[in-house]
Amino acid sequence: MNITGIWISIGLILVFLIFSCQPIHSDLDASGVTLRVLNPRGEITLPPLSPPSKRIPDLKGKKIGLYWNEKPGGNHFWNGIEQLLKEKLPETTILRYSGAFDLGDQLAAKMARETDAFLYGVGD
Amino acid sequence: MSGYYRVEKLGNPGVYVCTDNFIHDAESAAEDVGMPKARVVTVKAEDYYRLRGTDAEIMPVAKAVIDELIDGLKSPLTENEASTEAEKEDLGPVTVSGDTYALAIEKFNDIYLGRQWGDGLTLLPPTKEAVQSMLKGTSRSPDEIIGSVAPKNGIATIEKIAINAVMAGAKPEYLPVIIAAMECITDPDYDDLHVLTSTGSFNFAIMVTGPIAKELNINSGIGFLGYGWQANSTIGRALRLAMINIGRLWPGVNDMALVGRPSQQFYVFAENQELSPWPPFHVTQGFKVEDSCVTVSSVMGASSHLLGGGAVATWTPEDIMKNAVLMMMESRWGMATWKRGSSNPGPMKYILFFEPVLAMELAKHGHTRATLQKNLYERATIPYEELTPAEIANIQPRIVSGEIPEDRISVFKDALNPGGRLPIMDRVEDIRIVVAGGIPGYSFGMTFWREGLYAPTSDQTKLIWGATKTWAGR
Repeated sequence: MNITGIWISIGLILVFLIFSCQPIHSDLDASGVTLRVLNPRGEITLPPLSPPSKRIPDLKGKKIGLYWNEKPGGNHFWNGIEQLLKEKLPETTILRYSGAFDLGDQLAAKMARETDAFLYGVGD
Repeated sequence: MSGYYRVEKLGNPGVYVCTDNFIHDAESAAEDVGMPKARVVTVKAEDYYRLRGTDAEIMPVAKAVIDELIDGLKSPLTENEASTEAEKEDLGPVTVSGDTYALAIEKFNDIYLGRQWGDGLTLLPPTKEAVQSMLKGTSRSPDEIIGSVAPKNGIATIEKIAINAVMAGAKPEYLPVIIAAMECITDPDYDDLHVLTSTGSFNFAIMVTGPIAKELNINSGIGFLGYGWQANSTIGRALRLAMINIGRLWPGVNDMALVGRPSQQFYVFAENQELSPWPPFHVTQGFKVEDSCVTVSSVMGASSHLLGGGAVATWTPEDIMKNAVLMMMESRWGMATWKRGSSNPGPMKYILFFEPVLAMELAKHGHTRATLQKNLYERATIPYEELTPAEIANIQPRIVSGEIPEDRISVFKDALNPGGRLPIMDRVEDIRIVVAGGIPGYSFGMTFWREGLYAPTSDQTKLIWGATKTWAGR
């Protein structure tokens, strides 16, 4: 084999090595199927986030409102809560409120004005 | 949660109380109102519902949570609770790959269904090309905003509706109908929130009227509420997917229907105009005879009241009218406690599905929709002497609060005199008559409250327009 033949043989071996060392599925676009699918979710504009109000470390002398949406049976549960609150916090005043699932701005303002803290239940 | 939030934002610390099976619903609602770290205390559902009948029985449930409730009002907010950082959501496209098309589709479904972006059935991939093809069904802009979908008020653009329609397997020519239905559902006056999220199995009845129904081959004959019709099934499925994806609805998280919503693709059907002796239903809503429209009505799930007809029992039109009155009178159970915004918000409305032969018989006797409405309204009344004190007592608050329409107040006041008769409905128009079904067919009624719980109405009719692939609805 002359020098040219040696160089040709080396070149062929290199070409073989380069191609044979490629991973089988290095490019799925070429050898498989790629789907680009659109997102079906609707954009949500969240309202400005706010943390819950500051808590009251000592409830002595405070007024606690209990709100219930009048779903049948809930009154019994809230009667129990009222009784227990009076036992555990004898120096607090309990005020009861009821109405729709969402009490609305007017009743919310009244409740906020008349109480210091509140518990809210809708029966589920 | 919205009521809780109203008081919290005025500066009063509170605790929201719910059953443990509603914790995801409460957390989701807290996000919606903008107070994701609201303090929530749960009671055991298995105890609460079983024992809430008396003070004595429910007391152990109250005792189990009283310390946690007090602590919730007293203990300072943690750093996490005080934080108001929100995560940014990626709404970009998703890329999936597979060695074959079948494997890529399988992977796409694994991802979308795994993320709760589907209804549990195999979805079609909404590629850009498929969505562009779908959008060719309308002349309206893909960027046009139709409205926001409950419960999370996701923005429904034409493009997002089209993406969900592709996933549902709908044809481009159905898109204008789907868009019009979305306009009904997202109308600010329509209470989609209650229907989509309530513990009751409420649902949408979606009726297509006018010439587009025939062009699209929407079933209005035998089996009109059943399976097998591509238009009925995929229009309904596209809307269900839009509720899941645009409104972010999911069972047990914020859709709390206790036994689910039978007919998960809603009730999509067409009025049987070919066999109806009367003008299309949408004419009663102020549209032209030649228009094509969609009417979305809230209905009480799978419960329907059979009025008569069918292939077995014999019947007369008067039998069916009597049964319709009996159905209406059933709503008297709640009359003493009707109150806007409560779980029993007011009088019912009725959709009467008249099978074609009944409608033709009534028309032969000179009846129109209007005469039948008047006839039924006047018969569905209660003599003053038979009213209970509680029923009488609840009328005045309804007048004062504006729940009884102003032009109807005199009717109600007159009824409260000896010899008077109190109507079970507020308005004649609360009776809606549609002609649907084949021959033979059943006549039946569906009901819902006249007013929604969170918005004023429980039905909407919208014009179908912008169609490019049908003669009607352009």
